[in-house]
Amino acid sequence: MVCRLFNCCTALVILLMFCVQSTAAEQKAAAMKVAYLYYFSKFIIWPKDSFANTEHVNLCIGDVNKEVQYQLSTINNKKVKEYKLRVIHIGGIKENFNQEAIKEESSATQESLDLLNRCHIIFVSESMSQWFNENSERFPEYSLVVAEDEQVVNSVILLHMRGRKLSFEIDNELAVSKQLKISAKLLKLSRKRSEL
Amino acid sequence: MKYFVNASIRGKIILITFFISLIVSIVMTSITAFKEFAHFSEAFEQRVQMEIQIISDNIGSALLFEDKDNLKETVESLFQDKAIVNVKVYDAEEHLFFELSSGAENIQPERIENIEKQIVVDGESIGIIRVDVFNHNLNEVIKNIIIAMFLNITISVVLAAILALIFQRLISAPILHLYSMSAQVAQTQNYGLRAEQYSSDEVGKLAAMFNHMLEKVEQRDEKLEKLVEMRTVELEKLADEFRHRAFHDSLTGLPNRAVLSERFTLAADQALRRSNKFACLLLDLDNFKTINDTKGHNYGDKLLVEVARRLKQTVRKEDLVCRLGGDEFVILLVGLRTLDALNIATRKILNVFSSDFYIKNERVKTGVSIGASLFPDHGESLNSIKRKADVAMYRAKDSGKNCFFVYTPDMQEDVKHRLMIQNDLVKALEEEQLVLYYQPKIYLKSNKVSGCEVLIRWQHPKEGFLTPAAFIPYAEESKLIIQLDYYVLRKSFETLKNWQSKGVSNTSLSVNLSGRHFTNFNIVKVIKEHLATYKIEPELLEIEITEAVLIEDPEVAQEVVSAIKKLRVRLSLDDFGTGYSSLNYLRTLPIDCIKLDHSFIQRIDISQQDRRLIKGIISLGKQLQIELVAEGVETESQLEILRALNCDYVQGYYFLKPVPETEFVEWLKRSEPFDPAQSA
Repeated sequence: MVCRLFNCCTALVILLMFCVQSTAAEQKAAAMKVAYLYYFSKFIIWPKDSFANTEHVNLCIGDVNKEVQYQLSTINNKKVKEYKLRVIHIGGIKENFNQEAIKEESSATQESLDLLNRCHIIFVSESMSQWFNENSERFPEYSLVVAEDEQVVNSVILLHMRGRKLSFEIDNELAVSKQLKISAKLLKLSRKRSEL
Repeated sequence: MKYFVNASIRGKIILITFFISLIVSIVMTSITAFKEFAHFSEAFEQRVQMEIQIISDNIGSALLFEDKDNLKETVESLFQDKAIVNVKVYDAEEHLFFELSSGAENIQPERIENIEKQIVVDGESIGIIRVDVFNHNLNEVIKNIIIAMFLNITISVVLAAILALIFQRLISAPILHLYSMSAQVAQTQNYGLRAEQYSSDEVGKLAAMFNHMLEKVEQRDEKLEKLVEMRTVELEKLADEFRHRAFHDSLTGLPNRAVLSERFTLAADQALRRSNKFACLLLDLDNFKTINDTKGHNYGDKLLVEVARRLKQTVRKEDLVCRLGGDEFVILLVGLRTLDALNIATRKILNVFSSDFYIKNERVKTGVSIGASLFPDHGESLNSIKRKADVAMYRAKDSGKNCFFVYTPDMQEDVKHRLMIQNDLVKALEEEQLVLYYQPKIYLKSNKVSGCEVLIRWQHPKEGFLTPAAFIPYAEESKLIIQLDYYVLRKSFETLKNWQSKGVSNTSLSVNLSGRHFTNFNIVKVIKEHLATYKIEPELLEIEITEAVLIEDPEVAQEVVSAIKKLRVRLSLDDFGTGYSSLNYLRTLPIDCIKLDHSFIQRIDISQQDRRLIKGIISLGKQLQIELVAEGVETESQLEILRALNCDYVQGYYFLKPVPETEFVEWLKRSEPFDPAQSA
């Protein structure tokens, strides 16, 4: 009995440790993703007119987990060149873009459209890949699409986990077509991988 | 340092240039090397910094995205530079993110430099890159710098030394030339040489000054030469004069004793060779001492000169006239064949003196006493011949002067007599062989004895009774006269004391003093002592002086006379009228009495002129309130004439010849008051 209890406890501890370890890994992966998103902003130059009437580099985030959300708060308002990074959560306004709402052309919709129209960076998580593909034309031409899914249209940077490693790939031709200038340093790294 | 001090100017210039160039090149090369080193170090640092900066700029993204592969790839490029040893990359939290080493060997840890740079992305420091740097080339660079320094210094010093060697001549050549010239001048004593002036700098000025100095020396040399020439001439003249003086008498210019000695030898040789004779004449002027004393030395000297001139004119050329000193002359008459020739020559000499001499516009008469001796008859040496002539000359003096005698052996006795007198006189004084005689002095108005003159006689143990004439002149010659006078003075005081104590008489005594006393004050002291000792009234003593003896040193003599007078002792001037300045002495000396010389009295009864003269003198004495004593009164007629002429005092044989004390005292007792009839 005792032995069973010990085994059970052990199993429980192992399970807990695994859970903790798993949570820490997730936390680190979220931090890495957010850091990458922030770092990308440092190596990319947007067209000048994209900053008309704004002093922010707007990072639009869709559906992300809590860890990522937390990490995003750490980079909000951080300096990017002469601008400041602003995290814009677009997960909440996704519903405003259904067909009916658009037809009604409600004020909330209009605001959401204005908001989307300011995104310099759009992080498209796997969960909102479909939505993005459907509404990709609502984002400005110069917006840098960082996607976790290869299926996302107009995705300049593909950020994905390969095993335990976070890596990114850059479609420089697309970036050029979008008048985005990506630093050679970043381009060089895009061929490499970072170990977690 | 010692080497440098003693080095030549050329050497010094080269050495100084060498050391200056060495020091300057070391300093300059060191500065250059230091700059070079600093430049190299700076360039190295700049290069490394630049390289690190480039790497730093390029690893920012890799650090951000933690891409170590990319980081390594970038950092590895740094190792293209061998100076980079190790690279460390730290993240923003300064955790070592990446490290890579070059793996280079032979690295000296102490020389590793650490360079650190911030890794900045978008103006934000995202980490630090620390690079260890080792400058491999530093040793090489230092080595090169040292070699370059060595080469620079060597080249500079060698070049400077060569240039100094070449150009030192610009400085040293004029100095060396100057030195060479001075050495030449010193060696040759040629002050006519001149140094060349190459420039107008200090050396040129030195050359000019040197030349100026030479010129001065040359001028001084010339002056000195002239001066030396002049001095030489003067010295030669002086030497001639000395030579002349050595062989000649400075006053008369006649040859002296040295020439006499030389000529005597020649004359002797000649006489022997020719079998003939020559005579040595010794001449002594008569009364020269009196003339000299009364007229003065200058006058006497001029007389001697004139005598010498006359003598030279009288003798033949081959004869020799010499002056031995004073009024003594020697004549060598050579080539005498007979005694007549000598007589003739001597008469000629005597004849020369028969005519008066005129000295200083004043007529003076003097005679000469000549003694002659013959060579070889009277001796063969100069001394013996001259001694014999001297003996003969004394014979001539004794015979009344102004005459001539040829030596004969019997004359030797005279010399012996003189020597005897002089020798015995000392003993006579000790043994009191000398006796005082007294002759009265009569006051005619009262016919009383007013005093008496003390005279001396010598009762010689062998020679018998000697009058003053027999020994006083010899005493004068030998200076024994001083002791003799002191003796008479003492005896006179004893007499006075004796007479006073015995109540014999209170008459005064007149004592004759030699002129030799009047050169100092000894006699004053003696009289003063005697006055005190014998307690005699000074007025009872009368000192008789002759005017001639006062002339030798008039000033001192006058002072001595005055000193005697101050003792209240009476003074009388003896032999008045025989001298030349009698009247003058009446004016200058404190005389109480004058004693008219007996020569005036002798002819008073036959010569009207003498009578007039005596009358005048008596009158003068009365005018001057000076007593006058007529000496040598021998006859009644003389006495009467004198009485008629108003003469107050008389003395002479007529009254009493000089007699010894006892006799005098007796006479005195008898004749008080004096009765001329009794005396006659």
